[in-house]
Amino acid sequence: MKVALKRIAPSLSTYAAVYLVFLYLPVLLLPLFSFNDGTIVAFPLSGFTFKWYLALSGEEALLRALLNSLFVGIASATLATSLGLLAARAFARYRFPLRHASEGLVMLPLVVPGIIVASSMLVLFLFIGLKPSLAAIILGHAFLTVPFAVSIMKSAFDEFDPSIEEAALDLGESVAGTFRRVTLPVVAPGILSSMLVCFTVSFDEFVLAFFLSGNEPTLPVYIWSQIRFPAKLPNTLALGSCLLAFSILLLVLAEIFRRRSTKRGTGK
Amino acid sequence: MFRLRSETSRGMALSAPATLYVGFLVAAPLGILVAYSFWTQNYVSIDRTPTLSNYGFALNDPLVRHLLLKSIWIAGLCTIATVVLAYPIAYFIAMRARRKTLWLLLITIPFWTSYLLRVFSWKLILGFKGLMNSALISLGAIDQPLAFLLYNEFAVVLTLAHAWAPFAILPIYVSLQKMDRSLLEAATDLGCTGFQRFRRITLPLTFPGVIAACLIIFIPTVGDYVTPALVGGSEGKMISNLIQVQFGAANNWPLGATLSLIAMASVGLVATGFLFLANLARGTIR
Amino acid sequence: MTSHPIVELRGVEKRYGNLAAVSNLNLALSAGEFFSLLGPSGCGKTTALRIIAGFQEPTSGQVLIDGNDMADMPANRRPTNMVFQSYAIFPHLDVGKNVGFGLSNSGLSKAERDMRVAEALEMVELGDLEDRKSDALSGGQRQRVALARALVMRPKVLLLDEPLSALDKNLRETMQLELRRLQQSVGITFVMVTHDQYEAMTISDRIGVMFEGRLKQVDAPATLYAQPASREIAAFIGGMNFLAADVLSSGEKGLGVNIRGFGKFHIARNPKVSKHGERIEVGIRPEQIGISTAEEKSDMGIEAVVRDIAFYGESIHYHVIATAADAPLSVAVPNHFHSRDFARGDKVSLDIKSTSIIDLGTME
Repeated sequence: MKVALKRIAPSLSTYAAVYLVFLYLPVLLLPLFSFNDGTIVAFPLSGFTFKWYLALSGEEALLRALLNSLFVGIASATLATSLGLLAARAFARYRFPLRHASEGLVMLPLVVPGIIVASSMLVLFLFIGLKPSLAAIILGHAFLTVPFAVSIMKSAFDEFDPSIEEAALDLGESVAGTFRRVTLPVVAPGILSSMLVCFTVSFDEFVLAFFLSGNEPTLPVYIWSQIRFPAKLPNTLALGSCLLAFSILLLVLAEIFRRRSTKRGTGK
Repeated sequence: MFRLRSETSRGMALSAPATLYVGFLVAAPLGILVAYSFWTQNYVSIDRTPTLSNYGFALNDPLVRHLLLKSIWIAGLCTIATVVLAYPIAYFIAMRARRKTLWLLLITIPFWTSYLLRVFSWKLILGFKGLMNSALISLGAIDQPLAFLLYNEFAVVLTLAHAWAPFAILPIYVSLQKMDRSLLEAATDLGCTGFQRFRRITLPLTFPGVIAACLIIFIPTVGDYVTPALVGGSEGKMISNLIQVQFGAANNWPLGATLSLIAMASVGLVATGFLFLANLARGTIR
Repeated sequence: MTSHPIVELRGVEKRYGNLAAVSNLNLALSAGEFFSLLGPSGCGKTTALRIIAGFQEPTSGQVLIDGNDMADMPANRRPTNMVFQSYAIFPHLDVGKNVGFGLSNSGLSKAERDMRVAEALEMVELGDLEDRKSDALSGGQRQRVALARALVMRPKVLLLDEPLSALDKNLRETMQLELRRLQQSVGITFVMVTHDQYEAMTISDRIGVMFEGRLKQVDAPATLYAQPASREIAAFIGGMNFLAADVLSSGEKGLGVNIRGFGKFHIARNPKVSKHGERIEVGIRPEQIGISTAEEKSDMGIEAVVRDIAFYGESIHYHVIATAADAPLSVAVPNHFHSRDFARGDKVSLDIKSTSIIDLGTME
C-alpha cells in the first residue's frame, strides 16, 4: 500500500501544478500581452512597449467610469460592511429565534443567478421610481456583497472573546465607551478587510452594473463596450491588467487585515 | 444607563438591518417579476390586464425550450467538469500539501479578479487567431488553426469551470479537512487498500462537500450571462442572453420577467431533483 | 472593620424558563475574607458570581454590597472588579494601558494614574513589563495583568472566575499561594469560583459548596473536610468510604450505631438529627483507616483482603474487601520508606476509630 501511495503522491502534485497553470493562464495573459507591441493576442510576442498604458491616460470616458466605479465601490462596501458588522455580531454572540434562517438568508445573494438578480432589481427599482443610476448600482452591489461582509465580520467576532467587553464594563466604562475603546479597535482590522473585499467585488462586478447603470457606466461596463472593437484591444488589455493588479493588491491587504483581526481577537 | 436586555431582542435587533435588506431585495423584486409576468408589452406601454399569454408563449416557443434545456445541460456539464477537476486539488491540499494556507490563497486569488476580464481572456486564448492556436502552430503541432476551440459549448464549459473552480475546491477541501484522520488509519488497520480506503471512507465522508459544491456551481451558472455572450457564439447561447435581450433591445419586460421566473423555477426543480437523487446515492455509496 | 457583611445575597434566584441556575441563595461575606464558591461545572457558581458583578440580573432576591442594594446598579458602577476565566486582556493595548484602562474615567490626574498602575504592576511582580504587548505574555503573566487591572481599581470586592484553570499544574500551585498572599496584603474581600477542591481548600478562609444551583454548605476548609453535611459533599471533597449503619441509640452527645460487619461504634452526630432505628450512611476517610498484617490483628481489628494496590508516590492506596461485611474499602497510607508493603491477596487487619466516622444522615 505504501508503494501505491508513493506512486500517487507525485502525480497528484503534478496535477496540482497543471491545475494552477490552468487557473492562472487567463489572469497572467492580460498583463503579458499588454506590454506586447502588436495589436493581436498571438505568439510570437513582437516587442515590449508601454504605449498602451500611456494611451489610457487620454481617455476621458475611462476616467469617468473609473471615478464612478470608485464611488460605487466605496459606498456599497460601506453599506454592506455596516449591515454585516451588526448582523455578524448578532450571529456570533446571541441565540435568538430564526437565527439560522436569517444567517441563511443573508448568504442567498451568493447563489442567486446574476441575470435574475439584475433583471429583478431593474424591474423593482423602476417600479419604486429609482431610475438606473449609480445609486441603483450601489444598492444592488451592497446586496451582492452582504454575504462577504457577514462572513468576514463573523470570523472576526467568532475570535472575539466576549469577556473583554465585560471586562471594560467591569472596569467602569460605559456601553458606548466600551464599544469605542474595546470593540471597535479589536474588530477594526476585520472591518477594513470586509471593506476591501466588498469594494473589490463591487469594483469587478459587471452584469448588475450593466443592467442598472443607465448613462453612468462603471469600469466593467466601460470595458464591455470596448471589448467589441478589435482596434481597442491593446488598450483594453492594458486597462484590464491595471484592474487585475489593483484587485490583487486590495485582496492581499484584506488578507493581511483579516489575519490581524483573528489574531487580535484571541490575543495570542 | 447600562441594562442587559434579553439575548433575543439584542440578536434580532442587530441582525434585522441585514436580514431585512437582503430579504426585501429578494422578495420585492420577485413579487414585481411575478406581477410583470402576467402583464403584456404594448409597444412602449405596459398593458396591466392579467393574462397567461407570456407563459403560454414561453412554454410553447421552441427557442425558449431549447435555450432553457441547453442552459441546464451546459450548467450540468460545467458542474460535473468543475467538481471532477477540483476534487483531486482539494484532496491534494487537504491531505498532501505542506503549506495549506498558501495553496488555498493561490486557488482563490484568480477568483477575486474581474470575472468579465477572465472570460475575455479565455476568448483571446481560444480564438481562431488566438493564443492557443498561435502557440500550437509555432510549436509545429498543427498547420491550420483549430476552429473548434471558441464559440461553442466546449468554450462555455471550460470558461465556467475555470471561473467556478474555488467554489468547488473550498467545500470539498473543508469536508476533507473535517474528516478524522484516524478513520483512515483504522480502515488500513482493518485491511483496506489505498483505493478501498478512499472509496469506503474518504468519498462517503466528503460526499456532503461534493453536493454543496455541485449546488453552489449549478445554480448560478444556469443564469450566467457574460460567458455565453463572449465565448458561446451562436451555439453556446444560454437562457440569460435571451432574458437580457427582452430587457434590452427587444424591450419586452413582461416576457423577460416570465423567462426569469421560468428559469428560476427550472433551476429550483433541477436542484431539488438533484438533492433527492444525491440522498438516494448517499445510501448506496456506503 | 465594618460590622455588616461586605457582600450579602438574600434569596437570590436565577431562572431560565423552568430551569433554575441558582435557587434561593443566601450568603453573607465579611470584609477581608477569601471566600470560594466550589462545585462541579454547571452548578450555578459562575452565575452567582456574575450576579454579584452585575453581568446577570437575578430573577428575584437581593444583592447588597457594603450595605447598598445593587438592584439598579449596572456592572460598570459597582464597587466590584473581576478577574475573568479567560483573563480578557485587551488584545489591542499593552500591559500598562490594560492595567490603566479603568482609571481613565476616575478623574485622577495622569501622574496619579501612572503611579497607581506602576504600583499595581509592582504588586503582581510585573514592574518591568509595563510596555509589553499583550500578545507577548505567557499564561501566568496574563493572569497577573488581569489581577493588577482589577486591583488597581481598589474594589470593595474582587471577583475571580476560575482564575487559575488556564494555567498548568505547577504554575497553578505557585499561584495559589501567591493569590492568598496578595489577598492578605491588600485586605480586599476575594470571592473565587472554582471547581478544584484542592485549590479552594488551599486558598480560602471559607468555602461555599454548590450543587444544582443550591448552596449546600458554607464552612472553613478543615470543617468542610471533617464534617461534610451530606453524602454528595463528602464525595466531592477528598476520598471517602461510604457504609450503611443502623442507629441504635441517639443522645445529646452522639449516636450509637451498628455498621454491619464492622461492629458497634459511638460517633459524633450530624446536625441533621438521625432517629433511633433509622438506617443512616456513615463515611470514613481512606487515610483515617489503619492497616496492618493479619498477624498483628488487635482486638478491634477488622479482617480484610487486599484486592488492588494503587501507587500515588506520596501515598499508597489499598483497595480491600472487608471479609465480614463483604464491603469494598479504600485505605490510604503515607509512603514511608521502610513501611511494610502489602501484596494483592494478602490478609490484613483494619483499624477504624469511632472519632473518624462521619454521620452523613439518613440514607436516601
